[in-house]
Amino acid sequence: MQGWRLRVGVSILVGGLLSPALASARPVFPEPLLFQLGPTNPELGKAQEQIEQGDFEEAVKTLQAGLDKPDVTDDQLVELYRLLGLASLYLGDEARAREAYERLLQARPDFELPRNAPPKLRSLYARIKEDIKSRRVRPVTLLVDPIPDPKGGEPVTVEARIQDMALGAKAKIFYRRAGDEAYNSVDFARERGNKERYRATLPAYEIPAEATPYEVEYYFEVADAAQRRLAGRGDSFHPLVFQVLPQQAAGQPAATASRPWYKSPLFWVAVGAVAVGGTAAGVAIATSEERGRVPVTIRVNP
Amino acid sequence: MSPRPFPLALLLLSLAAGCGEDSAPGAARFGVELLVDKAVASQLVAFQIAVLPGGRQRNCTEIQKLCLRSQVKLDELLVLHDGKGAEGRALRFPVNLSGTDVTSQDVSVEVPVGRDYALVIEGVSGDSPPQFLGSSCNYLPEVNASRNDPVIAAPMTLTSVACDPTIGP
Repeated sequence: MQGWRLRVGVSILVGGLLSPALASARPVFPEPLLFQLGPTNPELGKAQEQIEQGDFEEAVKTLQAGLDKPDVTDDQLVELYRLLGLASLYLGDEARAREAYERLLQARPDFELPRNAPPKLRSLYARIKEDIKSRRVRPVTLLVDPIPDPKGGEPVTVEARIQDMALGAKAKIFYRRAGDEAYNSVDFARERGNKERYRATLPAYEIPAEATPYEVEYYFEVADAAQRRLAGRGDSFHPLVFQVLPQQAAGQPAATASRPWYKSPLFWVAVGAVAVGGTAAGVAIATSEERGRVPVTIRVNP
Repeated sequence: MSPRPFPLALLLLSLAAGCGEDSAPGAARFGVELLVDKAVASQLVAFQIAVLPGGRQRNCTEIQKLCLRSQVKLDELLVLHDGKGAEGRALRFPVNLSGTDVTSQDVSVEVPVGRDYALVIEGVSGDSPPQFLGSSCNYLPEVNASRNDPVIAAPMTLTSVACDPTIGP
């Protein structure tokens, strides 16, 4: 009797879930947020097992392999560094343990060890926390050159070197067209095989080629998980500026070879010169349109 | 009459007559400064105006300390017109400060339309080679083709610095 009731209940539930009317209804369980959909990190489970079996050297290798992966989530990084610190301490390598916990604490200042952690580990952890409080930990250093004036309609790639990058911190380039209010941003991604090299690309559609040049304001920033600025170049109030070159100037050398004679700028310049009655007059008119008269009052201290 | 009082009286007399101003330090220093200022003001023969792109990146306090020429590359400067046919990366305007109370002078320059400029005015002496006599650095947020608000430049304090501010065309 009970089995029959169960089968009926399951049938109703499955039928209800599969019916089209309910398919568009609000789901019973909320969908996971995007940041929770990170890739799995098999090294974490493997390293945990190795530590439990006392195979600390292999665990360190496993954890370092896990850290070298480019798509590790912040939560996974915290756990990787926690285990790396633990394994390193068991091996007597206090320097490596210290480095691991420093990186962990830079991102999660409120991280606490479990109560059953070994006394030696707790002691080291307390000292590192004290160092961070008194700012004896090395600061993040961002080395990046200003962006040279690019051609419009092409992506702009920026390379940066970031030393002592804090765990959980992100490097970004913020940019906006001069005159706009809000900045857009693009994250820097770490290059494979080099922990200090980062790269960001401004998409081509954000800097379209136009007939006249225009300016883009931008700045670089490394911020921790709490959006505290750790390093940067320029800021929102004092941005750097590059000028996007106009379409004509940008594409001229490559285009001239395949361009028909009647599209040659020289031809049209000659035609324009004849029509206006002289190159000088043409230039004068052209330049006067691009300039603005600025009255200036010069003042001198008596 | 003893021989000693006579030289003593001479010494006192000479101190009272010839060295009296030196014994009043405040007045003497003021006098010297006034002379220096007057000398610098009399050397001022022209103002040189230049415009730099990337105004917000510039440190005006630093720019004002020395000739602009020694701080930037010449091709960084925008090409300016004076509206009367003169063109260059720096334009000179003869000084027209007359009288003791007049400390300002109105000029106008034609600047390429754009945003975020720094406008630098330098005082230039009539020496050969010309000497830098002071600078006024001003942020110029925007230049429109139609109409632009007047720029009231930061007051320039005249001083003499060994530096030729000449910027070629």
